[in-house]
Amino acid sequence: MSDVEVSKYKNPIWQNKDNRHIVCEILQANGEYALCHVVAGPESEGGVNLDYDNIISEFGIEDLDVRTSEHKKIKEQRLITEKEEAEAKQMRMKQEVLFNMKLEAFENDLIQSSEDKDLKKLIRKSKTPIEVQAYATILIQRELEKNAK
Amino acid sequence: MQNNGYVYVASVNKAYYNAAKISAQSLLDFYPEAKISLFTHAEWVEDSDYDIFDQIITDNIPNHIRAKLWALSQTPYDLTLYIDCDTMIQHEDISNVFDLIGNNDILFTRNRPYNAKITKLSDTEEMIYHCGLFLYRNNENTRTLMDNWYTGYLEQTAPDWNSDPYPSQVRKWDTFTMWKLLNKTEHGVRVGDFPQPDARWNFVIGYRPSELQGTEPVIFHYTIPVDELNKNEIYNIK
Repeated sequence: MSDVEVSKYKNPIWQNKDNRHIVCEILQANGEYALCHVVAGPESEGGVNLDYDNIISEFGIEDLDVRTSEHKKIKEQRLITEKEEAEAKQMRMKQEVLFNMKLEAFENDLIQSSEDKDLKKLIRKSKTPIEVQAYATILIQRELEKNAK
Repeated sequence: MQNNGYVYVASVNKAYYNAAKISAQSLLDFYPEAKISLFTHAEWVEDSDYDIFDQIITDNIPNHIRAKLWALSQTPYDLTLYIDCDTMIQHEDISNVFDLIGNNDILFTRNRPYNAKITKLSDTEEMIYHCGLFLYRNNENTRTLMDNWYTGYLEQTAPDWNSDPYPSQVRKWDTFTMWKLLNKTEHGVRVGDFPQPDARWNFVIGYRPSELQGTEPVIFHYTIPVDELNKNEIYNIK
C-alpha cells in the first residue's frame, strides 16, 4: 500500500475567474476522477463553495492562472493543427477528384485513340475538373466530327 | 551520344502494370521520342505494349513488391529516370530531365514530412529523399548501390531483422534501406537534389500547391487505391 496522499483535485483551470468558476477533475467515491465544474460565484456576492476553497488552498490563484494560460495555448495549437489537417484533407480530396477525372477521360476510347496531342496535353495539364471536362468535351466532339467525315 | 531513358517496374499486382502503361502513355504525349523500358512479368505483356515501350524486360523478374530495386542496376540506359508506376506526366519539361544530372550520379526529390508516413528516425537523423522517382547515372558505383538496395531490403524484411535503434515501422520502407546505404556505407555515389522547386518533378498527392512556387508540375504522383489493388490480378509464378 502506498502512503502517498492522493489529492482529491487534479488539473484545475479557470473557466471564468470573475465568476470563480473552476474546471477540474475530482476524485469520486469509486476511486476514479471525473471532470467537474466548481462555481463559487462572484466574490462580491460572497458565495461559498468548499471545493473551490480547497482547490485555491491547494494550488493557489497564481498556479491556476499559469495552468489556465498553458491550457489555452495547447487548445489554440490544437485548433490550428485541426484546421491544417482539415485543409490538407480537403486539398488531397480535390487532387484525387481532379486526377480521377483525368484518368476517366483517358479511359474514353475516342480520347485514348485520338492523335490530337495538344488537346490531350491540355487535359493532362488541367488544374480544375471544369478544365478536364471542357477539353475532354472538345476533343470528343472533334473526334466525332472527324469520324463522321 | 548518350542513351537516356525512362524506366518503370511493375510486379506482383497487375494494377501496377496497368498504371505503368497509363503513365508511359502520358510521357509519350509530352515527349513522343522518349525511350521507355518496362520491367514486368511476361504473362502480362500485350502486343500493343510495344507501341508504348521500347523495351519490355521479363527475364527473371522477381515477383516481389520491390522488384524495382532488383531492376535498377539493369537499366539499358546511360542516364535513367526511374518513375513509380502510379504517376502521370503533365509537362513537356520531362524531355529535359536528363540535363539536370550535372556532376551527380543520382538525383532525388525531397520527402515532405507533413505528407509522409515516417521520415524522422531520431533527433538527428531523417530520411530526406523520396525514393519513388530519381535520376541516376549508369556506372559501377550506382549499379552497386542499387544492387545493395535490393539485398538490403530483403535483409530488412527478413523475420530476424532488428530495427534497433530505429523505429520498427521503418522495416517496410525501401526509403530506409536507401537512407542507410547513403549514410552508413562508403558508396562513392555523388548524390544531389533536383533543382528547386523539386516538388514539380515529383508532385506527390497531398503536397501543398505552394511547393510548386508558381511552376507547373512535371510529374504527378498518386497512390493506387487499395480497392484497385484488391480487384486486380496477383501474379503467380507458374
